[in-house]
Amino acid sequence: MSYLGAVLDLDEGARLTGVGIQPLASEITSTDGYAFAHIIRMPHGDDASDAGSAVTAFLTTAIACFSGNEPGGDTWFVIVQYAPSHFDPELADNTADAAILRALGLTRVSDSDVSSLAFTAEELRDAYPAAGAGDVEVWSVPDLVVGLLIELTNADLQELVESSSHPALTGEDLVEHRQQRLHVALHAWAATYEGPESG
Amino acid sequence: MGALDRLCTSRLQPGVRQLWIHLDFGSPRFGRAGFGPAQTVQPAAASALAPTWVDGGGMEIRLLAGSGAAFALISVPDLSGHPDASDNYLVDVELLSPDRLVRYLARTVDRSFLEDLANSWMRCAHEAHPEHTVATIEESTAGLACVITASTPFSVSVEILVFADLEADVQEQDGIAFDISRTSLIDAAHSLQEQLT
Repeated sequence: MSYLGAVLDLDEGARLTGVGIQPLASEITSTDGYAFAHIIRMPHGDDASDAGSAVTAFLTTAIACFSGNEPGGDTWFVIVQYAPSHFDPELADNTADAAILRALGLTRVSDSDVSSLAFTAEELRDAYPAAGAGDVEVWSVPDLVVGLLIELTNADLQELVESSSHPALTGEDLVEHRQQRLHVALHAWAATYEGPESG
Repeated sequence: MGALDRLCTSRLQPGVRQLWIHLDFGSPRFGRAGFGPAQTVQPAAASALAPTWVDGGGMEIRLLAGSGAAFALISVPDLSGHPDASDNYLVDVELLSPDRLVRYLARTVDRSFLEDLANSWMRCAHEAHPEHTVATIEESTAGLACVITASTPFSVSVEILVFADLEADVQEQDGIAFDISRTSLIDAAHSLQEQLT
């Protein structure tokens, strides 16, 4: 099971149907900091993709939003916010909670079922060797999150890390290469849609 | 046929670099894990925590008139702040009247503006003719101004002006004007001063 699939508190059989990466994710280069994931469940099968995108628009440090559904018909979305390492962890956690609630209030998306997870950069990084993947010490926190998101799509994290490295590249060139590989991996997942059932 | 009547391999949304949609077939399934570190965010509890600013405090500044009109600065929880920028605050600017609520989101004000606002309101409450003696307090970054226009022995007329769109070449102004009691001004000034300390 993928790391995120294991830690997200979703029902057995939940499906991932959409992923959005914010431009901020490629702008943040720090390898340190925190990531705060909030899982918002929406009753009645409301469109979680649009709701998640709308809520994300009101968060200053959102780096990713992904959405899906559950067998019972509920839909859900998860938003990941980034905080730099200079923040006190508890303060950052509280601020991330408050930011989500503000965004939900502004968009009138129900806040009746919201849960949260907090990750340090180290915790995100540790998920990679646990999956047999290689060295991600130079990966930024957003890239670590995106990589784990890709693992959520049933991609092989070890292969992803290998393809994201390049012995001839360093610095910004390596970062750009890695982010392109992550982009390609997500696109490949989206392209595997087989078409609607007939009848 | 399943409820899958939408086919998108990618869709660009404003502000999102790329959105990947993968419909129901073959999507990964999640199992519920026993380790549930996920914490439920209780709206009430989170509200009690209050939106936190970079320097660790939440803030809401409100002038509320008996007519139901109000002007408020409501702190925006912001994870992007740098510790050296602790004199800048991200706030929502709210204008309320019985038939309208407008909120301009995420405007930046600095500490000196808030201090001037507190001092201004205190002086307004105590001076005989603050419309003549108390200067307009402006925050150009936020497109915000507080003007004292008239007074009586018991109340002060306040006008709040807000630029609706900070990016526009031609600035369109929004605002609200109301009469507020001098005691309410004192309360608001004290509240603001306490929140700044």
